[in-house]
Amino acid sequence: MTQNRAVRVVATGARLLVGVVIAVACVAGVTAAVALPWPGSAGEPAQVAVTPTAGDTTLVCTGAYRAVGRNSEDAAQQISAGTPALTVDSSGLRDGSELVMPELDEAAAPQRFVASAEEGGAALIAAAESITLQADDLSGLAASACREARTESWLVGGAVQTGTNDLIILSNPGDVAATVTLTVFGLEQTSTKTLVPAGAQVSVPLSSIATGTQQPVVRITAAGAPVRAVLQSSLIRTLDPSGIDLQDTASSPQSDLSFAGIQVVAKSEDSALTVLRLMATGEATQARITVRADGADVQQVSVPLEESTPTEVNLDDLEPGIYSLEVHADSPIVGAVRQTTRTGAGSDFAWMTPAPQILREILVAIPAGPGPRIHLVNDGDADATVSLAPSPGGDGEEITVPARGDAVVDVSADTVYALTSDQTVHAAVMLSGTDALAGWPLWPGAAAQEPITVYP
Amino acid sequence: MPTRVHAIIVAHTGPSSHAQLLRTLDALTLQTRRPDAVTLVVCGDGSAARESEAVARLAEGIVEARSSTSFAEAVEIAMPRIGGDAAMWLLAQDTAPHPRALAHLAGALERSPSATIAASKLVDFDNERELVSLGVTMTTLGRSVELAAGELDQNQHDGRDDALGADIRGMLIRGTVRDRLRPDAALDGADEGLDLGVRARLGGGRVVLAPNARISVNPDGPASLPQGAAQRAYVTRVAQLHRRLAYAPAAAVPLHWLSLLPLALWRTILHLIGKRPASVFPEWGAALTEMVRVGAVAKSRRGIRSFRTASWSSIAPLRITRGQLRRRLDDGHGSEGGAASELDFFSGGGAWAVLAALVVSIASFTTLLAWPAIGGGALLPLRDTVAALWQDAAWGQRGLGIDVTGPADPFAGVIAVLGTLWAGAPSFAMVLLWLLALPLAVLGGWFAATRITDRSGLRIFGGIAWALAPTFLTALIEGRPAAVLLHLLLPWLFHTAVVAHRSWGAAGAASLLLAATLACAPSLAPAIALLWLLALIIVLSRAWFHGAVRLLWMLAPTAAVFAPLIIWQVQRGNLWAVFADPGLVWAGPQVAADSAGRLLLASGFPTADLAGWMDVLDPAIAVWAPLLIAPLALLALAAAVAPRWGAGITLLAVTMAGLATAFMAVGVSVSFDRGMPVEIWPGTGLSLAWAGLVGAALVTLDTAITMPRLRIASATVAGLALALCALPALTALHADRTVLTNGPQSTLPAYVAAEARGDRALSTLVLTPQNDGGLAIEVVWGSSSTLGARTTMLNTATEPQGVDISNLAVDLLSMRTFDAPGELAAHGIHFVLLDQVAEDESDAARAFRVEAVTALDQRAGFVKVGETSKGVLWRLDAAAAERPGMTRAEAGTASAITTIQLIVLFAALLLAIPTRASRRAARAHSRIVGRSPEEPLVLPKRADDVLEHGEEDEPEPEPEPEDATEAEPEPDDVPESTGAAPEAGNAAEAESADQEER
Repeated sequence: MTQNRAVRVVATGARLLVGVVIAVACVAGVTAAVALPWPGSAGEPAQVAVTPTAGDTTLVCTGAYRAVGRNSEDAAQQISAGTPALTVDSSGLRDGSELVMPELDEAAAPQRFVASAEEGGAALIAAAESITLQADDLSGLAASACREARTESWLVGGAVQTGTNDLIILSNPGDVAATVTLTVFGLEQTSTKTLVPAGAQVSVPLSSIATGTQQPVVRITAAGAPVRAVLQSSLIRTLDPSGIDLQDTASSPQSDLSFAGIQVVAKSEDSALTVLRLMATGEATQARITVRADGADVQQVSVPLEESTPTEVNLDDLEPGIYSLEVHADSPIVGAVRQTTRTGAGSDFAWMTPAPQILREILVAIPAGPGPRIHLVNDGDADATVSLAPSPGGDGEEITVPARGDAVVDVSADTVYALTSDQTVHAAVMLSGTDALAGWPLWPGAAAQEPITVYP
Repeated sequence: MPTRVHAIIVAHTGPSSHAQLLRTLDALTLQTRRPDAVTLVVCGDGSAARESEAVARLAEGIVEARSSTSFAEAVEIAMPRIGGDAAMWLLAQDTAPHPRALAHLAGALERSPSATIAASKLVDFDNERELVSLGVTMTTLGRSVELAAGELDQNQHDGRDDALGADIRGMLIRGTVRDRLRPDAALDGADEGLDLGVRARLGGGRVVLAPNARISVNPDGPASLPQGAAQRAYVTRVAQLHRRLAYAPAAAVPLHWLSLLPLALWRTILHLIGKRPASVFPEWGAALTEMVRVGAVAKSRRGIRSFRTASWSSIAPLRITRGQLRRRLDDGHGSEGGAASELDFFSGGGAWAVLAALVVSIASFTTLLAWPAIGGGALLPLRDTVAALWQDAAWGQRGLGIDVTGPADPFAGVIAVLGTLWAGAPSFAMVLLWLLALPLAVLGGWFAATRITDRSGLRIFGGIAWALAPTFLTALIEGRPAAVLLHLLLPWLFHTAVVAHRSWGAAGAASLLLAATLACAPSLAPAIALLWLLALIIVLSRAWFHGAVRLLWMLAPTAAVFAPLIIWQVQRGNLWAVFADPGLVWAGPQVAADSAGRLLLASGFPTADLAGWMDVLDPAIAVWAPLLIAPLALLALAAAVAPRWGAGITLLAVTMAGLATAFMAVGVSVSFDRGMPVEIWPGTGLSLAWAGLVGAALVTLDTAITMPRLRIASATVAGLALALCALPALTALHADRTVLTNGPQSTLPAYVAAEARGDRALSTLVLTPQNDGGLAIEVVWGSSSTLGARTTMLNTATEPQGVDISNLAVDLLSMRTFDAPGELAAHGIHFVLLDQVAEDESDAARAFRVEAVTALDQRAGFVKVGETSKGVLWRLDAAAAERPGMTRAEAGTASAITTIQLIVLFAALLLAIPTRASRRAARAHSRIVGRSPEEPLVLPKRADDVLEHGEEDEPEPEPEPEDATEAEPEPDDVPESTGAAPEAGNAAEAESADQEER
């Protein structure tokens, strides 16, 4: 009996011990499994990269510069202040036609150029226009490239305070009317819809849709047909005209923006001549801005951006020269840089939009204007060789753009060049003279259609 | 003058056979009336017999035959040696006649001139009080029936002297008819005596029983039925079919021949319902054998014809009638031994718990009552028609993509079953599932708990703890149908699989449930395979081979439904994709694959919002919500030291397997939501872990905590903590914190849904610009993208499947001018829908979408139907091509695969159907699996309370009557009582014996 009891006690003791060990092992095992790394795996989804077939390329120019308020009886009446000089060339056949301007009675209508697609890709075509005005209410240089119509455009620029007369010019080169939604981002967000008839150009005063917004950013969304949106801006300080500009649409929102061809003509202590306007389109983020010149960082600023609220950053203390600008953020942003020749009346200003990456051959149209130059920026890690040749068939020159560096090339006015790069570079056209400033980035041609990733 | 008697002894070779032979020869020498001659037929090498003195003294001759010679053939060989009109006495090596046996037999023949055959009383050699045979008859349909086999011999049958037939062993056949009444070798060793009796009666004679002539027989002699169950089933069936063909009128023979295969099919079904799967193959073997033995049938018929003088009606009075048959049948009532108490589902409060859960469910999901369909999360509508639901569940054309033909996800079968339950509007079945999910979970948990405890309170606790699992509630409010179904199926799998080794009924049900469970969560396969192997090892280590066979069967339906998909994925080198979650791939919230995420998983929560706690409380406080699981976890850990420690440790192993599955799953992404990899849902692994956790806690509560008050208090604390933990989830729908939506009844615009109503084969190309600037394309057939039509063929594809129309889709949106409607129509596409990503559309995606609208608007042949909440829809002007059917090869594959799957599933279903006998057999065992001798005995309420004391301090008497040493509960399959299985089988056989012939 006692022996039985002893055996039982030992057996129970052993069982309890094993049980405790197992319970402790469970807890320890789970703890270890939580802490230790586990193997993971992720496959590659089925995907196909498809490059869209190229179609005809249609460029739309802006046409006559619109002056507002010259008629004291009808302040809103628009009349033509002048006809821009046009420079155009293409690799193949092109058709030219005119759009109608219902708001202007008699003026040079904006041009529409259609370059037919060739076998193997879209045709190369480039056009640019420029105008220099010296009137009581308008003075300065305005120039811009003619561009394709888009379904979505972002205009980062303009102002609505006294002395400004900014117009959003909408051109519909298509065959059907477009319904355009203009969304203004400021302290609050407003939306306006307007109709752009087929083959017509209409204007919308920025002040009518962005009342009270200090630093507007406008998103233009077209339904039915793509439209081209251009911001025509002018400034009068007291009574003196102080600059005009034609601002093209900025690139679609992305987290990294690159600017080329930022011109600083004079150094100013009291007022910012170079201003960067930024807006985060998705969510609030931090923008890290780097100003570069001759391959070296000149200035670095970091600014917080709130969601859908435009913010301006003054880039002070820059020596006269040509700069490039890089903006990095964690979420998509849009931005543009305003450059001014000097403080005071009689100056000129120009908005520069971000320069997209270009690779291989494009055509660049340089319009008539003072001091035309091209600024090439290479932010890659390999030297880029860029060849620039007047089109058609002139003698070209080879420019080496060092890695993380830039190069400035003088070009002839009223000429079309073929620009070929073996690396991705950013580039901008600059025009500058006394109290005359203009500039715009170079865009890849339709031939360089990006492949679309399709997930079947 | 007495007639001469010539005895024929058929013997096998071998030492034990020889010993039996000598015993038989001894018995012959002791006969009061000795046979006049003895001929020995040795099947095999006869040298041992020749050297034997006893043989030499008695036998007039020794004949050697091949070792495969049957008894009837051996007799045939020896017959020429019988001289004159000597009566023939048929003996085998193992038939030892009692001293007066031959005298009685010969006397019976002499007394009754009409008797042609005298049959003796066969008793068991080891136990002479047990009758082996005394007279055989047959039913109206020809099945042989032993009149007294297996009964205790109390001379209760000795008054009977007339029988239709008898066992051939020990038969004395009158010399005058000897040549024409030979045993029929075509009967393959069964029913030879019955056949002789029938023929004797047709020849005007009869079989007379001589109950005083006793012969002891062994069960393994040359003239007895084979020992193996399958072989015995084969020979008895062959004999029966052969007699049927031999006895039938000539005109009916072809009809009988034609009926052989249909009858085999019908009897296969009966065998499966009767839980006798081992008889299925002998059944078909017998039918096929009999079909080809035309010559033997003709010979038997000739033999009958040559001897027959009387009409067939002369044997009718001796057949057993149905009334007699029914009276004879022992239905086994009371054989269960009362090991299992009543289920007490109603009286134990289980029904009230389920009802209470229904009330809670309706209170929590009140608005669902008015919803016609449920959406949001991974939920989708179901097909409009039942036919389409089942089409999705079969190998063939999938409901998505162009020319995508291949294996169905097994989950589509589960969805088809679910949809069929509400055939009028299958999508509503999903709403019902959501409303009934809580009560069904309580019900399942309650039944699973019956395998662990007999205490009704603890069973209710088990049911509630199962229903309040955070992973289950998360799946409900996140809209994950596969995970919800899994959680509802898992307790039933536990309930059946732990006893699958005991009975075929449980194995059949468990096999179906296993297939359904893995269909809902293929990622559980490794864990379940591990547990299955553990169970197999336990069963084999105890040499329960019947149980092992049942465990093997458990995998059959799963293998059948998964095999096509596995083969298909292996062919593409993408084996891991087999583990992909079925249904809609949804990148919903789930924990990250890092330490923080795994910590949440270890605490039972599959999402970072802790089943809603993060939304209702300050996150700093809400992170402590997992502490509410702690009481249950502590109880579970204590199971390792509980008296029923075997069950406790195994259940903890289940928990570990579930957690490991969840930890692994959360870092593995094999399926893609429109190009975005999505990890496997870890909640299903947590469901498995929860099963082990709740089970282990119940083991502790049932066996370790002996003080009733402490037990009640512990269960109450753990239960209340779980209930508190569930509050945010249960109130989520009212507080609008879920992704569940009313409808949609179709994922496509109403125009398409109306056009394609009734699952017409109209297809819609759905283009969705992605946030990364890409484009997702999908071709949807029918009125909606449905849960059953989703296929892992496409979800896990790393290459485009079917006809790739990526180029066409991009061209559609580009500037290229071409006959876009014509090309789309050639692929059978009727509509183009431009959708947008569900939430947080990026600027790139929106810009792309706006451009796409513009591009499509300008295309000729595209008629804009309108902008809907589900996207912008265009109808194609061109007449779309008919959807091409499957090729001949594909159709052949489809029908072959579907047939095999249906056969296996049907067999499992038949096995799972409970019968009276199987239920009774189940009651012979305790519901509880894995009891150990150390635990205190809980007696059923009705039992006498006096016994309750003394068990704990007096362990010498085994508290468990049936199988006390057993301690291995294994949630997946647990072997438990050794002797149980054969008994169950016998009972089932006895019960369904009377149905067999119909």
